Amino acid sequence: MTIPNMFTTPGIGGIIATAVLLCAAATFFGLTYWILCGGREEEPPWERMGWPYKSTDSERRFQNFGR
Amino acid sequence: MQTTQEEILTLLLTPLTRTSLGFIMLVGLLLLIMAGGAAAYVYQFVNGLSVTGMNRPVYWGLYIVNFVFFIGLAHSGTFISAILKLVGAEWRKPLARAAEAITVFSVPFGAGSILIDLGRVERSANVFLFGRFESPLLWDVTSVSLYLFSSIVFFYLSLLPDIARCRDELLDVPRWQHQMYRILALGWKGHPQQYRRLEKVLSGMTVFMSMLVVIVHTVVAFVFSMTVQPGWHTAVMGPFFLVGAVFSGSGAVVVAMALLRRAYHLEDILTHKHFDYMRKLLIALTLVWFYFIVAEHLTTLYGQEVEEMHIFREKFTGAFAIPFWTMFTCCFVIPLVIFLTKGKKSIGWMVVAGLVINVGMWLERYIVIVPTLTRPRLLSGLTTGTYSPTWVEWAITAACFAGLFLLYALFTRFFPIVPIWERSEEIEALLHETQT
Repeated sequence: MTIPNMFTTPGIGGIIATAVLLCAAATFFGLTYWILCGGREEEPPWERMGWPYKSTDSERRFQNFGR
Repeated sequence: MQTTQEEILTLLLTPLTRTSLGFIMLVGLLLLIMAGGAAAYVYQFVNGLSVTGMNRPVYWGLYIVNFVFFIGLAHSGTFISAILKLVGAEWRKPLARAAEAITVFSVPFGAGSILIDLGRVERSANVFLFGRFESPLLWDVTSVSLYLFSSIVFFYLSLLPDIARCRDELLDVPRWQHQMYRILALGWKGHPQQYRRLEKVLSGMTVFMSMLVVIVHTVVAFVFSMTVQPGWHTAVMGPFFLVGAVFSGSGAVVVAMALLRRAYHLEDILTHKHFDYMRKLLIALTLVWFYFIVAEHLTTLYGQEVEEMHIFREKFTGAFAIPFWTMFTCCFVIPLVIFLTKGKKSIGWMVVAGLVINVGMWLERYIVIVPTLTRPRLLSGLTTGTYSPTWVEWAITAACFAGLFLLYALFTRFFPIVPIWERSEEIEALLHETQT
C-alpha cells in the first residue's frame, strides 16, 4: 500500500482518527495520574494507608524487617 | 474597601449551598424548551429530513449554522484561558473559568448539531468504519472530538483543587452533593508537589490548546473551502472563521461575566477593570473582523467570476441582503459605537454589545452557508434553490441554546465560577518559589 492509497482507502481514516483520540486519552490519563501522585512518594507507605502515628527510624526498620 | 481572602472565599462558596426560587424557575423554563426541541427531533427522526426546510440543492441549513456557531463560541474559553495565559495577561484569571465553561458546554452542542443534521443518525459510526482520510469531514470529526476531549480535561484539571476545597469546606450541603465533590476531587490533598505538577501540566496544555484552537476552526472552515463552490473556495476562509470564533466567544464571555456578577454578587471580583480589558480586546477583534470581510468581498468583486458574482449580488442587494446587512451592523457598526462611547462606563451597554455580536456572528454563519447552496457552481445554470427553516429546525435550535444555558447555570450552582486556588496568595507564593 502506498502513502497516497492510505488516504483514499475507506476505513484507514477511521483508524488514524481513532489512534489520535486514543493517544490523547492515554496522555491525559497519565498526566492526571502523575499530578495526583505528587508528593505521595515523600510519604511512607503506612501514612499513605492512613496509619495513625509517625514512626521513628528504629520502628520503621522493625516494620520492614524480613521484607 | 479591600476585600479579604476569607470574604472572597465566602462569596464564592455561599452560592453553592443554596438554591433560589429564581434559579429553579430558570431551570424549569430551560427544561421546557429542551423538551420541545426533543419532541421536534423525534418528529424529524420519524418523518425524515423532509420536515426541515432543507431540500435539493440546499442540503445544509440551520443545523450546520449552529454547528459552526457553537464551535466558534467554544473558542472563548481557550482564548481567554490559554492564549491570554501564554502572553502573561494576569487580568484573565477571574474570567478564565467562566470562559472555559462556555467552551466545555458549547462544543457538545456543536458536535451534536452534526448528528441532528443526519437523517440516519444510527449510521454515524460509518465515519470511523469507512472514513477516508482525504475527506475534510473526517478531519473535522477528529479535530472537534480532540478539542472537546482536551477542553474537558483542561477544564477539569484546573477545577480539581477547588472541587477538593468544596469537599473539605462545604459540609452542610446535601449528602449527594458532598459525595459528588468527594468523587470528583479524586483524592486531591493539596500537597505542594501536586500544585507544582498541576501548574506544569496546565502550562503545557496551554500551548497545546492554543494550537488546537487554530487547527479546529481552520478545519471547520476547510469543510467549506475545500469545495469549489462560489463564496467558499477561498484561502481566507480558515483565518476568517478563526477570528469570527474568537470574536463571538469573547462577546459571550462579556455577557456571562455580567450575568454572573449580578446573580452571585461578584462586583468585587469581576470589576469594571475586567470589562474595560474585554472592551479593548473586542475593539481590536471588531476591526480585524472588518478587515477580513472587506478582504474577502473585495477580492471577489475584482475577480468578477460569474458564479461568485451571483452570490455576491445575492448578499449585497438580493434575497440575502437583509441578513447580510443586519450581520454587518451587528458585528461592526453597533459594537464599535458602543465600545467607543457608552461601553467605556456601562456594563449594561457592554452586555448589549456582546449579545449583538453573537446575533451578528450567527447570521454570518448563515450568510456563509445558505446563499452558496441556493446557487451551487455545478448546478447554477440548471437550478436555483430556496431555503426557509421550518418550526422543527427552530425548535431544535432553541433547545440547543437552552441546553447550553442549562448546563452553564447548573455548573455555576454547584462549582465555584471564579478560580479560588489561582487567587490564593499562599499557592501563588509556593508556585513563584518553585519557578525562581
